Amino acid sequence: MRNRREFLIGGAAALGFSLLPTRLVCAETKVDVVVIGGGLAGLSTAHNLLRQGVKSVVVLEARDRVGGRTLNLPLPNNHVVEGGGEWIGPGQDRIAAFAAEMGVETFDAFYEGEGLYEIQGLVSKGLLPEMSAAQGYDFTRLATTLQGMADQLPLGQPWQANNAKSLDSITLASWLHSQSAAAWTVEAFRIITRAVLSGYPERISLLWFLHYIQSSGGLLGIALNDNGLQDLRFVGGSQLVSINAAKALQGRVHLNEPVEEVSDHANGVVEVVTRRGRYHASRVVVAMAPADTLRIDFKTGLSDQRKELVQRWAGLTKLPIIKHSVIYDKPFWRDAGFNGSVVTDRAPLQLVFDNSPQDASIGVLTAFLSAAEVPAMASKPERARLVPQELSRYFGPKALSSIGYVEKDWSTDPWSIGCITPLTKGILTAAGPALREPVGRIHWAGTESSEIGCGYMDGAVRSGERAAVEVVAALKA
Amino acid sequence: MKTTVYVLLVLICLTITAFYFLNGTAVITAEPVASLPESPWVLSGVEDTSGAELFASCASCHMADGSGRSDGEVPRLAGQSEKILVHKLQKLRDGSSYLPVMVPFARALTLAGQNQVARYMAGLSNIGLTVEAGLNGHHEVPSAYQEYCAGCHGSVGEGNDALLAPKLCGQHSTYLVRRMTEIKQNIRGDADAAMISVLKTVSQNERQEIAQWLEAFQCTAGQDSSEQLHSGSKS
Repeated sequence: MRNRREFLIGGAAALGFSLLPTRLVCAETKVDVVVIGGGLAGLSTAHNLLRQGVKSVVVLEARDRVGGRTLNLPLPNNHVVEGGGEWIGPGQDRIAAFAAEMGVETFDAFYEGEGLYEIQGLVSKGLLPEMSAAQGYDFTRLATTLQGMADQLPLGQPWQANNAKSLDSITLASWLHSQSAAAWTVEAFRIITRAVLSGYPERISLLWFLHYIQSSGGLLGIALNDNGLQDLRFVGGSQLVSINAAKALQGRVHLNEPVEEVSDHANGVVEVVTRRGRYHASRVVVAMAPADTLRIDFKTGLSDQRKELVQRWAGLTKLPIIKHSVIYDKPFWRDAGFNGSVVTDRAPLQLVFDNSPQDASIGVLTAFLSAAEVPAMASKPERARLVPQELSRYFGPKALSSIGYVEKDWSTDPWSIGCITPLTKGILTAAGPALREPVGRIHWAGTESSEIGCGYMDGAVRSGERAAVEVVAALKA
Repeated sequence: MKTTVYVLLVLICLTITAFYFLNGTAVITAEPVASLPESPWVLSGVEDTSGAELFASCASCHMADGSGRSDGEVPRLAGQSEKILVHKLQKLRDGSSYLPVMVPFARALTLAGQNQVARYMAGLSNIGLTVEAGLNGHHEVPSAYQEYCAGCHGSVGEGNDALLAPKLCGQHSTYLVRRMTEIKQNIRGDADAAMISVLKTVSQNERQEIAQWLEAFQCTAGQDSSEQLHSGSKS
């Protein structure tokens, strides 16, 4: 009798429970930390949290993949080529360590033989472009001066420099002209800003340029390929670091879950709402490029500085990059003594690299271009036709005999604006501190926020380390 | 003194030698397949809030002349109705039209900036496609267009502000075909019910025919639709 009563009561309760609306029954997921963004910065944050004893972590990623601005594209015979960030070099210790920890090895990018330069319409081959002694001297004196100015900045906090405001009120081009730079020198800097910073000297704030070269370890490292920051590639492609890092997080990474709202409530709970669910956390780390965070509605508000930073960054003129890799039977250019690298100031292809797999079983030339710069190459079929033609200018008619291509066009990526966008005048001094300053229980990570390696994979990993330390300290407080 | 001079001479010789060996050698090549436009928006370095300056950010994908991309990835905005553009930007900003790629751009604008840039884009020339200009060979409006589209989008695709129906003439056919599929599936979550209903009856062939006719029909911002149909002239 008693059993039957209990059975009936239990059954009635179950029935009542099942009739409740889903949102009440399947309520929020409670964790200690929500990390928004499954790129290198977010994954580094999560790993460092775990390492410091914070296990209750979830990583929310909008895309159907991890890796953010690193992405492997498929080549024949199970090889890959990168559609996004790919190289590391001397001094970039944290990405090197993170990759090693995730079981990803490096190999030397191919630089044996001669590289090509195209400056002011003149194509030359060699370690350096062809230049007159006067041109060489003028460039060297100004590069040295800029490096000296960069060395004076407080690392990672360029806005604290005594002359920060004046450095931030002038573009790199204006400064070069004020120093009576020769036309050739300006073009050489155009190569650097176009290739490395995705912008032009006429648009980039001098302070941002100095900060960037200081953060990366110096102008020489940025500019050099071999033994510079383009020295090493990852076996299996750079995205593999993130893929392995996500696996090691054992179910903590949620894909296809774009965050739409973040609310930092007074009761100590941060609510994160995605397209698919709701999370409650003690702390949130937003591991994204600043401009991309505009996709999230921070309902309880942000600091004025943070709002200004992201608003202005998203509104900047950009040169979003397309990495277009042309595939060949073999790396034929090597037989002709070329290493496949091309560096230009105003040609349609900004840069070309030999991105062949390590065993050279096929040849791959990866070209960097921007549709914004070259309307004739804005559409995909036109690129397929014209990129090999441009390559044939440098490497001869064999460049026309490709067996295919793969590409990543960052301008149409729904989750990343361009790739890296340099700041123009006034923004760093007005809003720089907002790169890292937490707003309530919301912390910031991402390569742009990193003191060292800003704009590089190394910066992303370091930002995750820094954010994890911040969060752990806050949780203990 | 002698040692200093000696050291200096050695250094100068070493520098000259290094320069000689490291310096590049010229290579003769053909002309580039395409030249970079001397776009004022790129080089001006001017920071103001005019519509043109605000548009510089849009230009990185929609191109400096607002013509978009012929592969259908990015629409032509030049010459689109100002009211439509404001409406679209507002919906992208508030998420009622779900298109993640556009959200930061829409939210980067102030409301005043949104209106300014819309006005600027509306005033851009609607001409620029490489297909034959004007009405040559396209006097006949396809019956499929007349049956399914003209009621809202106008007799020659000139759009209808009151109905919030965008101008379609001059738009890339690849983009139009893609959007027709997306609207029928309500990918962005804001598809007009009438559009969904109509698109269920329009065949793939008819969509292609409509899209290709619209791309070729070059309408001009502000020109009266009947005038365009009867003038038969390039704008």
